[in-house]
Amino acid sequence: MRKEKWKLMLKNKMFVIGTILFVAVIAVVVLAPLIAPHTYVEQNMAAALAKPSSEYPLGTDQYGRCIFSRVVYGSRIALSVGICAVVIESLIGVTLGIIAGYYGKKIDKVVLFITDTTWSIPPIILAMAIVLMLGSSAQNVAISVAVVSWAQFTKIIRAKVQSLRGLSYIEAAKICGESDLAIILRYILPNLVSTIIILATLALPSAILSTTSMGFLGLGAQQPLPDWGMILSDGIQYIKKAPWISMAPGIAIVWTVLGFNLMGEGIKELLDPRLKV
Amino acid sequence: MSETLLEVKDLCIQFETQNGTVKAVDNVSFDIKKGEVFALVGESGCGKSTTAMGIMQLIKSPGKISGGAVDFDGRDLLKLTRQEMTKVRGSEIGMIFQNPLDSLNPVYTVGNQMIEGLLVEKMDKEQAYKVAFDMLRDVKLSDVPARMKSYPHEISGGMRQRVMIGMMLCRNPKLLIADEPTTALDVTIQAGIIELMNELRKKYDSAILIITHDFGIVADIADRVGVMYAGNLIEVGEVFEIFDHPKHPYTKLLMKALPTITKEEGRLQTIKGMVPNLAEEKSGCNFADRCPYCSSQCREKKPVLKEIAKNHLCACLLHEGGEENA
Amino acid sequence: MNDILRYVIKRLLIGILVVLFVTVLIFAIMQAMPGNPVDLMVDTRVSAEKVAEIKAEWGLDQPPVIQYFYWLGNILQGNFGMSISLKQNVSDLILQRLPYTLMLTGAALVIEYLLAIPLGLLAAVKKNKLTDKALTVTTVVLWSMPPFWLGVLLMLVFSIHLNILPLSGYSGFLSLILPALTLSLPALAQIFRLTRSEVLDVMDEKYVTTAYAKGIEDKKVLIRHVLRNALIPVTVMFFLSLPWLIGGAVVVENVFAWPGMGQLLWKGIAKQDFVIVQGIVFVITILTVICNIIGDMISGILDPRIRLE
Repeated sequence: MRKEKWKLMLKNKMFVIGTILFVAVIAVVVLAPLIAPHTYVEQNMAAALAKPSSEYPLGTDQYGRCIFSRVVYGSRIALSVGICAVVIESLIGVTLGIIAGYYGKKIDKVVLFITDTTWSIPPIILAMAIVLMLGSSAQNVAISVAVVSWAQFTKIIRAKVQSLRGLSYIEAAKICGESDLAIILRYILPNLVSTIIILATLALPSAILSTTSMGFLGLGAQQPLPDWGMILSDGIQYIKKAPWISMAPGIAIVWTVLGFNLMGEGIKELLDPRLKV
Repeated sequence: MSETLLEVKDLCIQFETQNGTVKAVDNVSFDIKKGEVFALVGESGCGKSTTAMGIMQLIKSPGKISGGAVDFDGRDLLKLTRQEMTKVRGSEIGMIFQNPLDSLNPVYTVGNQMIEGLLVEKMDKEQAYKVAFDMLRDVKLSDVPARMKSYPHEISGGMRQRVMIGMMLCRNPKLLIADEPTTALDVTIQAGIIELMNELRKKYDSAILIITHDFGIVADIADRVGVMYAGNLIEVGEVFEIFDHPKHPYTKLLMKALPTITKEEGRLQTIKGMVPNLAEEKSGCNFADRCPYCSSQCREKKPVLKEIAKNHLCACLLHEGGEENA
Repeated sequence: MNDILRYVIKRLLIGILVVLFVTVLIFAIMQAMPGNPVDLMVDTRVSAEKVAEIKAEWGLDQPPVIQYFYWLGNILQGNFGMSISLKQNVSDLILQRLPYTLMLTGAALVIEYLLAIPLGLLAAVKKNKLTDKALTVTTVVLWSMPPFWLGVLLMLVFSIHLNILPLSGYSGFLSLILPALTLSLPALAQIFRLTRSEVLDVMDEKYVTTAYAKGIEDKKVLIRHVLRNALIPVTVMFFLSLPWLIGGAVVVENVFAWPGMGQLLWKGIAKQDFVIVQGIVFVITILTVICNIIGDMISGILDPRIRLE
């Protein structure tokens, strides 16, 4: 059965393309020093705003830094910040979702109120405020994006736990006197694994979009670190003279986000096609 | 004998699935006379509902009608265009479904949905309202003016099925197809619905094709019965003939499996084995694996429906030669 | 009627609670911010007495809890205080900027839904055919586009190469086109997918089969039965998606130098002007809560099953 499913996945063109894009991104992250012709800080004022050439495959910025190398190294920042954000938000979201779904009643109402309220503030605005409180840095961007995006996890996990709670083997475990924690760890969590995997894979691309948006607004990793959003926004000033500065990180973001989106859809199709995200 | 209204000839319906082509309905032929009640019985998945949907041409993708003919009132429905078929539906053939809550649109009132079908006939709204109103009275709903304004979720399951029946009969179709009309209802309400259908068929002179797995309902309402098994129609005959003298081994076992008060044995009999996988191409009789009378011939030759007695057809090699050895 | 009234009142009460909760949250964040706003307000030549006076004026010498009520009392009267960095009344600033943000998000919403609903319906009707696949791929790509980059692309094509639309700023209707497209295209993907999956779900409903069995024409079935039901969640989404769109507007306004609240907010954050930030977040939250309530009510009107709850 499993094997057949994987065969079906290979027939799903979107999933295959997504996986190829994903593997390429991972390769770039791992092999960045081998791929990039320069380091991301190396300046060459003589070649400032240079057109793409064999020396600088995607041209240079106003300080004569190699855009290609900066974008290649930037993949490390984008991915690590995105993954951190998703890990934090899934920890918050899943915990609250399980608590609300399992205990129900008043606890559920309180959690629901908090999630609804979080949804009432435009996420990026709240994230901006949080980064401002914590200071601009890559870690803080990850934290702030996580703090504003966990509600999605909570809502779906809560509904899943509610339906699991009524199952007879969980009722039976309760009657046998198992503690709540044991029931949650032994019976509920294993049933949530596929949902969490789907949610996390689909949360990653949107986390990358949010974190690069923050970088674009200047709230992310600071110079000379190569944040994709920041490279792009710096390039806007030179859009007429040197459009390549803004093009390269944009393509990198679309590549990565698209890869994860397509792959996530494929995984969802495989594990739980009916889940509405 | 009265005139034939519907004649289904060698109807084949298949579904393309990942595991291959499933022949859900395989060469099914039967006919219904004007004003007659014909019951199609069989277990879930035997193709009886699919046959009904095939007659209406409401088969959803990935299913499709792959052969045969459906002659209705002098023409082959399968040869009609989509628009022509749309005109036949509702006006000449009505259909009601298993679950009356799902079958009514939740966002429109009962009256609105009744009238919608009538307006297709270029009736003006007032006239349509009056027809719908009278119809709801005919299906014995109480407080009709209030019911016209009710939403489907505000009325009970039995009432909803009455509304469905009224909705489908109000254009006076020649044939009403009822697909498991009482399965989703409480037993006490079932009887009322069957009684109503019996009453209205006389008043409106409609023929009825009733799809069910409940022999009690068959006995209450049907004139003739067709038994289906795994996509094949295996036995057709008048209702008491089938009850008293079933010929096909499957029908016989089915009759034995029916709970009756007079039965001595404490346990219900069951039919051993599983329904075959219809995606697999195989020769011989579909029932061979479960049949107590199965012979080597049964696994090679596919039996066809043949008249073995007056008005009694059976598809079984045991009866091919006319002699009876079972 | 009584049921509907109770429902409305309940929704309003929850809305007020949400607004209060958000004000506490925002206030807490601003309190935790580094930097002393008074230092930013005045230059070093000002005397210590003057600093104390300003602190008293803003309630800044009070404990945070009192400061909160001081601020809440003011904003409830529509007085958001004076901007620290721009030395202007924040209500005036917001009132100047709000129409531009509403214009931008409004235009984006219109584009988004006018395109997404018909396309979603088309894809559902042509399920698994070429049209459906092409639309699905296009929308996934759009969904994966960072709005700021899409904006840059549109700028490059329409303002720099073709030179038919203004590059940035606001100078009449034409300048609205690019920002509105930038904001709506990525969001469109979500509504497209929602419409498509809802239409497909509803098409499988028994009552649609009933409508066909009644002899209703295909087109009428599609509009009266399928779309009428499928659009309930889509319409609710119209109102619920507003916070995302306003969030997106903050970024897009900065790409196109659009003179809306997003740009003002950005300036406020850059200068640590918490008066501006608090005021704007409050206004946006109120807008969002109102939209949520409207969304709930619309779903009650569209779906008779919800009214009873």
